[in-house]
Amino acid sequence: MKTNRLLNLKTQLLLTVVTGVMTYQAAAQTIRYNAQAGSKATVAGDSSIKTWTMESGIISGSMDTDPHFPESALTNAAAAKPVTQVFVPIRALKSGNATMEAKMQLAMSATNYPKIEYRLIELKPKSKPGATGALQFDAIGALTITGTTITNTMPVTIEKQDGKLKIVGSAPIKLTQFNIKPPIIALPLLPDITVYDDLKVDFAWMLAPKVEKKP
Amino acid sequence: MNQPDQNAADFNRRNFLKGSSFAALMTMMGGVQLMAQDAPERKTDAPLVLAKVKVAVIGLGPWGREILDQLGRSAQAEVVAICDSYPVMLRRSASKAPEAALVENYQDILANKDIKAVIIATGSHQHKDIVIAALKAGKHVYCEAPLAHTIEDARAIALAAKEAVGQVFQPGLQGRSDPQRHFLFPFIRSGALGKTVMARAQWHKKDSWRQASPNAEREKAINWRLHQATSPGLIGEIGIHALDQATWMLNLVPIAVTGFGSTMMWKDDGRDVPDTVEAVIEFPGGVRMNYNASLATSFDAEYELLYGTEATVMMRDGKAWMFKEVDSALLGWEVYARKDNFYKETGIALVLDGSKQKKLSEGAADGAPTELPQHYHALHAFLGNCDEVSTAVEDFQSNYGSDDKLALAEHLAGIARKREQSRQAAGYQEGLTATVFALKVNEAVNTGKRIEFKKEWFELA
Repeated sequence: MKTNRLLNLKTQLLLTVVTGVMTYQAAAQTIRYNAQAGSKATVAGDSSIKTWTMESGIISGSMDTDPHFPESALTNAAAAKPVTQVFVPIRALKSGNATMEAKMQLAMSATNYPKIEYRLIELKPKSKPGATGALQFDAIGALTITGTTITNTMPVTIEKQDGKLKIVGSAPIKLTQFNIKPPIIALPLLPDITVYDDLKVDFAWMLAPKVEKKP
Repeated sequence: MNQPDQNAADFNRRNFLKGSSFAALMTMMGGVQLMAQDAPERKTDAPLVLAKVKVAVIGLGPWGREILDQLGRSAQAEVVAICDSYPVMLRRSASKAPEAALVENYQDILANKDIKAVIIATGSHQHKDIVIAALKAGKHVYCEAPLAHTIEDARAIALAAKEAVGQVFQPGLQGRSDPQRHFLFPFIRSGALGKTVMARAQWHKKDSWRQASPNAEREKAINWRLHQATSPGLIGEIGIHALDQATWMLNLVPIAVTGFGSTMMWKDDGRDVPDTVEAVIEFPGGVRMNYNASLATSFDAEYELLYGTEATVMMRDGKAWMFKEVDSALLGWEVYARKDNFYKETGIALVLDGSKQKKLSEGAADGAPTELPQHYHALHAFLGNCDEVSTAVEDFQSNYGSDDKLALAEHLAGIARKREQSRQAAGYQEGLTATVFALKVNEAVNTGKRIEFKKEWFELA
């Protein structure tokens, strides 16, 4: 009996060590990608007088993936759920018109909610297993604007080049989805300008592996 | 540097014409008025709250005090310090910025971390050290034009500004921020004047250019504009704006200049800077610009003319007038413009949109499109850009780190490209180009020689 117990203990210990090593290896194989300069988000909309766009050169955040991402996400369900956080500072959205920017910041309560946030839930592959280059997915994620979160699905392409990731996507959204009242701009001697509810967001997000700084 | 109106007694023909419906006179001469659209007013919305920029003014001569006046009109300016090495100037300026600290040494301004921007309105020969130190201290810098009184100093300033990524540097080429000029710019560049024939500009004012001083030492310091060792003369201090506007509007690069200078009135007072100057600047294709300035006559004050085969534009007192040739083709918009009488002909006033028609018909004869002077607009652009660039740098560095200066520069350039008209302004390259141009014209005036421009003079090392 004693011998059997000892064997069981040894086996459990071995299993624990093996599991620990495997977990460690898995953890060690996670790559943290950080957002890079060169990213761009564009919000395009329409109004009662003309179309308009706003651009941000800042899309910050990070993505934790396995080393074989994005190809691995075509076949591996776990790899298709990389931990991903995205932020766009609202004041970084520029239209070339300071009044419009100030109105947008007011409408989006930028003082209370200074960032647009996005958290990826899952990637649904659209490219076939074994595909290379710019791979296509439907990204399901939680988009938070002015404190209101909705789950949306949008088509994205993910491409790895020289160890860096480029994620390009596009999504239609409505201001009222986020409890934002479409702004009305009053002008003297002219009819009010009404901004319409439907917007289109396009983005190109650049990421590079995190580089540890030497102390 | 510019020339503010110093007192009420300084009343010349220009003022007379202003007060006696100069616009009507121009209309009678066959002008078509070109007016910029005013910024739209809000009838129901609450006013937008603009971020204030903590700013200091260094150099409190007449022009420095004029700058303080304009900053006092700006919702974005918070003048926290004013600086001059001469205490009398500090005391004289204090009432224009009651909340500001009075500082004699500019280094104390630069050491103050709360001050984000400095406006440098000292003598041109004093700019270099202050500008470079201010940029090194991380300040946004507005430096009056010309950048310096020598090409070497101007280049050193421009280089320091180029290297100061994330800081605004704006030379005081105020016409580059004037909404009226921005309205004219695409009109002229579109070829509406036909083939460029020539350009002409003048600045006339009966004024000694001399400031009163309590002693000989102070006299030399305060009257730096009267001596060639420290002064770029009438061309550098005044003419630089007209020269810059002509080359900018017409997209011309000067080939050569011939200059003349004389002291016609203010003789025997120790000055060696001519009080009356004339220059003929040659551009490609046989186009020439004639510029003259005088402290000995006020006749016809100041204006700029751009002549084309189809039409000529006169810029004067914040307005512009178009004189069309009788055989020029219809541009189309004239149909919708107001008709005015010109001597024996009927001319056309330009109306930008229906909403302005009433205003134009009521006030165009005497009213300028804006009552605000060019340097107000330039300072408005500077302060707005200081705020925008500061927040953009903060956002960039907090998200992407502070290592990649090139990427930051590209990011800021992207923002600048989208910048609205009211915040457009000259940068270090335009400042260098205009300064070199003016200094060489001044050299031609002082020597009476023809000088051929060299491309490398305008380039940064």
